[in-house]
Amino acid sequence: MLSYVLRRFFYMIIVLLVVSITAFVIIQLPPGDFLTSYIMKLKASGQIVDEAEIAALRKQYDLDLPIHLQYCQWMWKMLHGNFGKSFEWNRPVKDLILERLPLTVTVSLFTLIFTYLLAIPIGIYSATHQYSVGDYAFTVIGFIGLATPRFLLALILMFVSYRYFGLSIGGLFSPQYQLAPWSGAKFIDLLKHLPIPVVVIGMAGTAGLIRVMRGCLLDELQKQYVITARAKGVSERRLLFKYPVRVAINPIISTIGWTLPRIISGQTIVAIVLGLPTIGPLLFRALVNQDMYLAGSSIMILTFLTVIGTFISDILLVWLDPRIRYEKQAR
Amino acid sequence: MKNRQDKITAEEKFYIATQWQLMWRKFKKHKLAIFGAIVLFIFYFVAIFCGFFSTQDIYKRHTKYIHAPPQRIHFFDEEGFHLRPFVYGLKRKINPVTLRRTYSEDRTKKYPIYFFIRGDKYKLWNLFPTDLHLLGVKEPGTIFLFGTDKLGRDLFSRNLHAARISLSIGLVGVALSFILGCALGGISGYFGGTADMVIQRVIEFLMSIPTIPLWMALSAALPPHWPPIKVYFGITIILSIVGWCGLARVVRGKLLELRQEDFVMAAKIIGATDGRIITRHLLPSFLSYLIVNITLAIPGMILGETSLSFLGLGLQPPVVSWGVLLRDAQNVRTVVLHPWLLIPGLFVIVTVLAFNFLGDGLRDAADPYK
Amino acid sequence: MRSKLKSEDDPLLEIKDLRTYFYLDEGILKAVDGVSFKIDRGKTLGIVGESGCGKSVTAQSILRIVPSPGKTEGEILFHQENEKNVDLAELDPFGKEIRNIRGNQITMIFQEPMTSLSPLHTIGNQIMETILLHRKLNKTEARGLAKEMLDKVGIPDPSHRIDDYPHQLSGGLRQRAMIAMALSCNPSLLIADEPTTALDVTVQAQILELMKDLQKEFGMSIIYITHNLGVIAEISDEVAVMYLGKVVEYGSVEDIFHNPKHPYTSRLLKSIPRVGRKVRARLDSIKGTVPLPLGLPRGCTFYPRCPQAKEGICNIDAPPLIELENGHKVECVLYR
Repeated sequence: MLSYVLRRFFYMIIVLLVVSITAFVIIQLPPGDFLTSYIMKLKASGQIVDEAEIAALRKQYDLDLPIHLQYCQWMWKMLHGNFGKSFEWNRPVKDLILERLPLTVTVSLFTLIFTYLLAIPIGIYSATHQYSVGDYAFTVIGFIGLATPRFLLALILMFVSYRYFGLSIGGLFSPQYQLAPWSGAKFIDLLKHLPIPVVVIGMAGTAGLIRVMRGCLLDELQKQYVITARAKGVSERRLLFKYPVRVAINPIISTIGWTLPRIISGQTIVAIVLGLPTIGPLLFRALVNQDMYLAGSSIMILTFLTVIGTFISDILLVWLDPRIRYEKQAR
Repeated sequence: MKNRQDKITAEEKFYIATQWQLMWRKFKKHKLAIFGAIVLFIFYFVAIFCGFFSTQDIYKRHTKYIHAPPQRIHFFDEEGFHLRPFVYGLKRKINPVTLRRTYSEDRTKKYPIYFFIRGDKYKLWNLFPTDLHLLGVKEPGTIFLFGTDKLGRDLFSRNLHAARISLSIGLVGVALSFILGCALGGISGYFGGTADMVIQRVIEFLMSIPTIPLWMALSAALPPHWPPIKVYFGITIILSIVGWCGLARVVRGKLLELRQEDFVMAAKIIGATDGRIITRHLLPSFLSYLIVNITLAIPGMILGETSLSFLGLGLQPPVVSWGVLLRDAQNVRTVVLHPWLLIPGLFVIVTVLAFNFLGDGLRDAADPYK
Repeated sequence: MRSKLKSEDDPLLEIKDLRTYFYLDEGILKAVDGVSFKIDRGKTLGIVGESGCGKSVTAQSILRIVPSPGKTEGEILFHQENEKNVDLAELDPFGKEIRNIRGNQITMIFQEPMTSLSPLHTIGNQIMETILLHRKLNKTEARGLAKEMLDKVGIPDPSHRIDDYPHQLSGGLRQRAMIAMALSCNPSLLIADEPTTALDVTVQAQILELMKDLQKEFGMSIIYITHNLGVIAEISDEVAVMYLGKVVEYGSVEDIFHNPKHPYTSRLLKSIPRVGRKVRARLDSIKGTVPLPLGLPRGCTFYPRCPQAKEGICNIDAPPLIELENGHKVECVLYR
């Protein structure tokens, strides 16, 4: 068990390294380096750019080094908490991201919980009531949920609430709490604002998960061990939860690996539409303005979140499933 | 004796039916899948001949009709039923304080709708110049079935032209993913070993990255001076970067599974060549699975393009796709005043639904003995 | 021949005109179609037939665990000891009454020892579940009983094995664990649905031996379902031969093996390889395969494959049930 966790951890570190390289490549992608666009911007606003100053900046950002050394420098600085500077905001990238990270994690976590809390019972219901009216209803809702782009769902919800209730939804806080320091009242205000983003972000994932859960459970319900348990005189409800549900939960938990990227991915675009103070809109603005250090770091942080989440789900799975537990041990 | 003969043939029919016949039989039973297939057929057909089905040129600005609402097609007026449908003219009022335009039907002006009418010039498939349209009204009448946008351009025609881009990007993207997925999945599954290990790690890595941020970053990096056609292919390639992973996994998994099957072993023992085994035994066995997975991969591509274009990072005007059209609906206040701007979203949903239904039906049909 | 624990005519279970139909889109699948037999206390009834003849569904019908969309009708009279008889076919398949009988008075073991135990629970957990359900014991006592049962079925080192997961046991040991579970509440009837088919031949013999020994010790009746005639000859007192949802011949093991009446039974017996037969002689087989019991023609279901079929009789009317001497019954026009 421990050796498996260690190996999985080691693998995660490698993935994170590759992610950082990808992020670095993304920073380098736009034509010219970011300093060129910075200078262009300064020139456009009529400022005079001093050659010496440019050289100093070049040195400060290691742009005079060959590309692989630039990467190493960047990594080295990052490990020391220096993520570079955002030209757009004129602030350290680290501060910008740290400001928004807790809310990003909160929204993702709530969405994840919402997704599983909704998908598992509905999946169980659909599988045990196959081809019933309820099953069909959930299937149809699920299909529509999968087919609707999340930003469109956000738009439609905003449209409906504005048009029919005169409410402007969006954001995570009421105006009076936006800049206020954390307090109990602010937290409650946050909880009030969470449902809409959580539902919008979680919709597609939930719909997908219901299909998976239903399919798995239908498979399990046919299995011989279920008939064995029934032949023992175990009641249907107890039987359902002790055996097939328990078995079907495992693949569901292993889907965190793809549910989490979906949530983070969906959150990015929904946050832009709903104006949530998370990393998504930050990344968007950074990309539009070619604020590349901020963009690269944002992508890296978002990916880190999913990779770490997947790692945790893997560990959970091993702990839950004796088959994997022993198989891994035997290896 | 005759009874016996009949029975055997009926029974044998079930056993000797080819895999495709069985699939077709099963597929026919899936009503939603049939529905999806029909919807998609209509959509693609209209998209291919979008110039003909549109009522006018998509770049023509009707400056008198900015943000005009959809005009209804009527069959009845005060005089009763008319076989030839018609539209009423639009009367514009501008609120002097807010400067908001409101439109109402002008019952005094009636424009009959003509079929196969000569109208704005266009080039069918960019090759054949023509001016034939399915329907339209005569000057000075207007027909805006889906209303107009902020520049007074007809949204019905724009939606049809957008369909061409949005629907084709799904197919092109999947074709690219398919080539990549088959090649890499095939290598991975057939040869195994180190190649397999490396490819699997790459797939796992790509799948663990949240797609939208990655797509956003990559498409933001497309040079702004590229011509539309290059951007179009750029976006497709970006979408395929993630898209091939799923297909590669299917190909690999199926190959590994089939390699163990008795009939493949049997073919090997009688001395069939690798090429023959692949084409005669392996390919037919998982072609159905590939088709299912391809069908289910297309909606992802369409949704991806729509999302990117919506954010302004994908296709750029003057190219029209559903996502580009939805950019006009970014502001909720605009949408409340002009709800018809959301119509492209409806098309996206229906298309994706249809693909999912079709894919679901195909998946059920792919297991004919189940 | 075998130890006789109770008097001759002491029925435990009487099945009359049992019908289990599956209502499918393609039509009504008559998996069990008018089956009648009885089993005496302490005796073993063998049910034999090709795959798909309805043997397993008959067993499932007794316990009322037929998967949907199957429906069971007819009479399944269960003579409980010191209690009044119940008709199992009348009970709600999900109700408390039938659940108190399942796993307690009537238990069942299955063909696939690989899949018939839950992979996520220890065998001890699964045996104790049965015990706790049906007996008034606390957990420690149940665990003690489970260990005792594991020991009885010949699992070595039961105090450790009890905490093993099924995948840690071999097929034979798993089947032994299944038997331990089935016998833990001292049932009056054990239904064994091809319990040795999936096992190695040597293990098969061991399990069969074990079941015979346990029957002597616990005195339960056994319904043994198999397609293996050799096993039937070894273990049964009475035999029911099934074909396409019907019992075509029923009789004592001697009658069936030495004096088979139904053409199907005789063909079945001829298809067993025997020592001392002419070398290179072809083994007799029954031509054709079992048809799907869906939309069957009128008349005898064996008609298309029967070598003695009479055109104009067999394919017109259903064959009558003919009672021969000593309770030997056969469904065939040849004995009218």
